[in-house]
Amino acid sequence: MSPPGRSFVRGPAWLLVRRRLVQAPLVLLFVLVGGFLLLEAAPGDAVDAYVASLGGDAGLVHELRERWGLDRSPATRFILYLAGLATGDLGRSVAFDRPVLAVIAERLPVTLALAGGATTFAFALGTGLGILAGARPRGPLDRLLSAAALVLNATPSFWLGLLLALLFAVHLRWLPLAGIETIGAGYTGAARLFDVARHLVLPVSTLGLVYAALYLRLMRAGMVEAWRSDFVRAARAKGISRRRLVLRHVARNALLPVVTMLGLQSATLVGGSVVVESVFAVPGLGRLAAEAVTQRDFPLLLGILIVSALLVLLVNLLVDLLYARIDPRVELGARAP
Amino acid sequence: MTDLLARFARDRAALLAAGVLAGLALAAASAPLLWPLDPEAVGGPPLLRPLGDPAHPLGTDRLGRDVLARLLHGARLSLTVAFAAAFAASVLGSAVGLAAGLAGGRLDELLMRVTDAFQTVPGFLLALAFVSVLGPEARSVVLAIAASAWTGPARLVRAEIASLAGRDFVLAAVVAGLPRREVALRVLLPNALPPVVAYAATSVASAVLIEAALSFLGLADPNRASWGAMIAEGRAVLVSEPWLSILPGLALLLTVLAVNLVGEGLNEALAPRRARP
Repeated sequence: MSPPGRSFVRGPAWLLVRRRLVQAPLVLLFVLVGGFLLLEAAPGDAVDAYVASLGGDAGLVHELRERWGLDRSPATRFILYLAGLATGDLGRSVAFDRPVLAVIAERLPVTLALAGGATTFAFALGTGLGILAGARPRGPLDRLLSAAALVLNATPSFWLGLLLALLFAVHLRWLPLAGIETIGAGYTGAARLFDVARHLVLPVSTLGLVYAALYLRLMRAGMVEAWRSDFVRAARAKGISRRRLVLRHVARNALLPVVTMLGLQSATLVGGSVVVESVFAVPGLGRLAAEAVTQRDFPLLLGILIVSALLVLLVNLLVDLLYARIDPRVELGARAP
Repeated sequence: MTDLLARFARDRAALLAAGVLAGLALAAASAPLLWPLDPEAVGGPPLLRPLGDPAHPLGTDRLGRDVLARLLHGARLSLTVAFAAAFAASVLGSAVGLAAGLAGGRLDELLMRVTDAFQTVPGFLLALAFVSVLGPEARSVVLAIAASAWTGPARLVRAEIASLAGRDFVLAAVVAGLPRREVALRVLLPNALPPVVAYAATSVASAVLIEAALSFLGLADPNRASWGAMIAEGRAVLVSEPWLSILPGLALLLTVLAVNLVGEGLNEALAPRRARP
């Protein structure tokens, strides 16, 4: 076996990563143009939204349009927006009356914790149960787990969240119902961290369970496929232990599509956090997006679209790197055709 | 076609799911005849429990509106929006995929980067942005969902075109002197469509969930009964009257489950066609 580092630089995975790096700026530019055009098409601008919520006369409208640069043509504003973006300026949020980037930076860590926790939970639970189900396809355990995954896969996450909250927060009183920390408790250090973690258990489980069902199904399907392949038959003929056979040969090969899916799901995960954060009143990026929509805060909404697109691009890049690590074919240093 | 139906019918779960879905669609379509109560009218005392009063078999909500009528009308909205969105996404996606696959070169590269851009923005965020711009009507919700759902069929059709391009029957059509347009629309497209059909079921399922989530967040038309909005309204009395949120959630679950099973059945039934050398 060659050291992963070497093949990694020369192998097809590196080519893929390089391709992604070349494409990313173009993709991001399309996101920018598309987002800008879409929000430009909205009836009414940020000033209208501001005046509608806080009041003001024609003089104020005129003054604000001038101050926020809304009296210029869309093309000029787009160029100014791009120029601002280069210096990390995403414009000003109307609802918060603060820089968009500052508002997003405040909310982002919460969503990263939620999404990261949910992914870890879903991956561990999904692949673990998937291996159990795929170890003996069509066995009683497989039937049970597959049926459960099928149902869970069809469950709306916000509804699941409400049911979990009703059971674990209201009836059993094991976990807090909403929010990200106990307000006014004044916890510091480890106690505060523990408090936040306790608040995240329900949102993370809600978001994670739906994806766990997906990973379980993928893992199982991959294993069913692997059982039929020649290399598993060969390994079986060598007489290795069943445990080793299942884990080393069958499960390992089924893991690849799951990792691919991990990257593909990063975008839907951000979308899913919108609903789950709203259910549990978690002050993250997702709930911020819902707030931006109801308050018609378009600069903020555009900022959220761009930041989440950046996040998705980044996660996909990381997944490509991870893929290179675990794909046995890449380790052989095989070249892409 | 009969071959396809026969293969589909062999999958008992898919067949049952298709029956459930058909029943649901029928009930939704004939809601005004089947259960003529107005879903928006205050027709009884508030918060009647299910199975208590024969006039309101599934009870009433906080305003005294009939839950069964609201569920049936919610089904109308949910199914119409979901199927319309999946259809729009399939047509748009197939057109883009066909164009990219046939053109190749720069246009292909450009179209695929646009597709990437749409896939990079979280679909639900895109739907939120569309609804906030276009307004909360059902029509905007359809567009909002289709705006992110078309990328799947686009990639599928493009990949199919690429794999079909070198096949004998396509070459034969070209050699026979069929105009390019005919080859594209009569030969390539029909053969590239089966995976799109199977994928459409996935689109319907996710569209049902997105519509529900949008109305749960209060971003869809407040004047039309929808399952998501019913769950949100039930939240206020979740602890004392949980069925108000549980019933529409079960309806959603059943619908998505049925659509997924039908999709899997279709996928299986169409697979031999794709495996054909």
